[in-house]
Amino acid sequence: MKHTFAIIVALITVIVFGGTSSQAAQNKPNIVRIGSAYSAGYGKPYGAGIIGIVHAKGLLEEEFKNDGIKFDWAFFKGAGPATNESLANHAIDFAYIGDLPAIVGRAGGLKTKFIAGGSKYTNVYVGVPNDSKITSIKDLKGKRVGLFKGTNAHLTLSRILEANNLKESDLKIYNLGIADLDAALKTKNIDASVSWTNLLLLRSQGNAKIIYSTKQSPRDWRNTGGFYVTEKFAKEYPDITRRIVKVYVEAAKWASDEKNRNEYLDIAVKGGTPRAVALEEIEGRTLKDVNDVLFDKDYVNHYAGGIVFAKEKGLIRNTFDVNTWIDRSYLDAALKELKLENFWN
Amino acid sequence: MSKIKIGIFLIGSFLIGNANLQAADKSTVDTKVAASRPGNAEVVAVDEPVKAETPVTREELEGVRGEVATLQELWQRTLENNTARTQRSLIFTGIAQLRYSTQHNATRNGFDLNALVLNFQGSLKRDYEQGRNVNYLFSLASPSGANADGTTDFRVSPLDAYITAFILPSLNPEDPLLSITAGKQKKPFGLEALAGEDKKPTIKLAQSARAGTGIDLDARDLGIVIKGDLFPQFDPGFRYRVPAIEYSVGILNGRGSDAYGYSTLSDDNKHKDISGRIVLNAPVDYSSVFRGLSFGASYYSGKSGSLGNVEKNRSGFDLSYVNTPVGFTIEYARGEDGTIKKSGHTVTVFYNQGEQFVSGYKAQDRYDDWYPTTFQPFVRFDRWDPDTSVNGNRKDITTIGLNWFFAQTTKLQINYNIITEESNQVANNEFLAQLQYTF
Repeated sequence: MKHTFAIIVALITVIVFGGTSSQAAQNKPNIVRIGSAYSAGYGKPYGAGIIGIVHAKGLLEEEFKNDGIKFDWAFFKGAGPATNESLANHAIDFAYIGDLPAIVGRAGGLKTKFIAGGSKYTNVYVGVPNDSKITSIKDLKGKRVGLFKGTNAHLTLSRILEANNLKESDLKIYNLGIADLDAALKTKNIDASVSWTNLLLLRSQGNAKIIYSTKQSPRDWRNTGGFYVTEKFAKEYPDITRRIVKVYVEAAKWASDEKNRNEYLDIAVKGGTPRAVALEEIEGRTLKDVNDVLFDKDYVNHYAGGIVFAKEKGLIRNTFDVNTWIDRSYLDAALKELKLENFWN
Repeated sequence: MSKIKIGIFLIGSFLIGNANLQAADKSTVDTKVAASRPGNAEVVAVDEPVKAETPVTREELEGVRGEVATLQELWQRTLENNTARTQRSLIFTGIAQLRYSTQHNATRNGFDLNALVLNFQGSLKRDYEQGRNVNYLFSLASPSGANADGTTDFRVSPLDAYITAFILPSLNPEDPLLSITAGKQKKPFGLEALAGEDKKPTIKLAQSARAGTGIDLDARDLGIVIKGDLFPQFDPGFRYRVPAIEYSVGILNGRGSDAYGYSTLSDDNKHKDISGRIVLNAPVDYSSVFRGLSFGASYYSGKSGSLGNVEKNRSGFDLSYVNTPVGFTIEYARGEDGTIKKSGHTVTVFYNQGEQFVSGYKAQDRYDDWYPTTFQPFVRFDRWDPDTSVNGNRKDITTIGLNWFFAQTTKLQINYNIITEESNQVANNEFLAQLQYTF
């Protein structure tokens, strides 16, 4: 019996202390865990945006193949909130996430560095059933509106409502995930859905009509995403972080090249989004504009404004200076190394 | 079943719809295509436009309709013959625990089935507007109690049988909840006794919670329990909801379970027992270091015996901190059965390596049957005094344990119990291993 006791204690000791000691000795991680809030919502393990390109082309695995570092990819069904939850529980090291959840996470105490832009200015749509008499945002007053709360669409809805002299409390808001939003709109259990390109798909299937798109509003009302690293990982592995950002920028450069348009779209639709929908989403934009990674003035102001807006709407309790969150050093180094300082300007 | 019916309908609609589309004239087809892509010439240009080819004849259309009807009949027959059905929504789940135990100076050791549980649950009334749902749970179990001779045999007993009605709307996480549950259920008392199977660290319950030797905190009882919360805090960035106050109060028969853990179904006296619990949670954001900090207090007042003349009181408090990756729980409970006063407490410290308890992380888009492996080593100290007026009868159990969550619904538990009894100086440490799976 004493032997049994000793074995259990030894086992526990190995589990608690074994992994960390081996990582510390090598000064590089055995595994890097990357989580993306951007998936198409159709159950397929592919991401959207620049991180989707990095994943689908296996760029990080290629870059680190001689370092013995593995990459674990997580595409969260729970979008931004699930990504934040994973960051808070130290389950991922890097995150690709939309504006509002990133702001809420940071305001709530998540220790992340904002290291590159991504998925800039994607659209939010408001869809209603085909036979609905709702034709404008003002008509939503008192209606059942589906929304994936806490995602970047939430921020856009707040802006849309404010512009129409409405408040969230004027609507009956149902907090639903993407798949549930689509199902609820199809079955008319909600009167309207505030969502993304999934609404374009519903429309093409004859199950919805679009009454509003951020294409008709100021660009700043659209969603943006970004690339983040935990402060802990960046501090422990600054060189690995630098190399990962470099690969990220290389992917953005490739995705910005119009001659890669077809292959870019092939990757963009791997998650299940129809090609026509993906095309409609970026209609009128160049790939360089879509895949811009810079912290330009408009982009930074978008986040600064988002912080103020989220505070005003009670979505966060504490504000913070966006410039203390952004760490340009990795991006600047990558741009310089790749001679892309003026590529997206 | 309904999904299959919908599938048949969709296939039929698709076939008939396509046939009708083809049978229509070209202008109609072009209008429909254009209507599906409003104001988007680029999209239409990229996708191959639907071309009106040779229209089908009415005979061909009738033929397709006939094939669909045949297919529907075939599916209907298959459904009737091969599919189990219920009148309301039903989720059928189960738990099985296979255990191996061995003890110093024991006359026997080996494998046993610690518990088998079958759950039937679902919704009796679904309120899509406000979430004032009426849900049910009915479960059968072969409880883990042993017979007087130490053996166990396979007896099945109703475990839970209750209906829960949400009195307040339950859809908005920013609103307080209030529900009423009637039937056979756990009484609102204690921390460990109310925890789900995946949250209970040890194979054996805390001594105070056990039937027979303890004060029976884990046993179900018959009655009505009102449960709710106040001042909920919702952090949308994490979909995290924590109410500042949780409360529950119940009126119960109070008869509980028999000495072997088998629940009884009817009262044996006219007196009804009252049980209540209040929990104060740290109302903080998800990423706060104080997330998961809670203080609870429980009280139970009743009478037992056929005449209802034996006092049966319990009280307790608990403090818990369940965060990542470490946490602890402290629980104290005392009871009075007539003139006998009993008390016990547990202190548990654990460490999670893995994402078993990170719900957002577990829900990923993956093709394979992926699940995050999690190790949970822990240490527990459990003291029980069956009669505080008598010296020298305390029993302490220190457990060194490991829980290994290696599949979505399966865990392996290993416990080594160092047992110290004031009234028994014989070495009787025990080793337990348990495989628990649910489906």
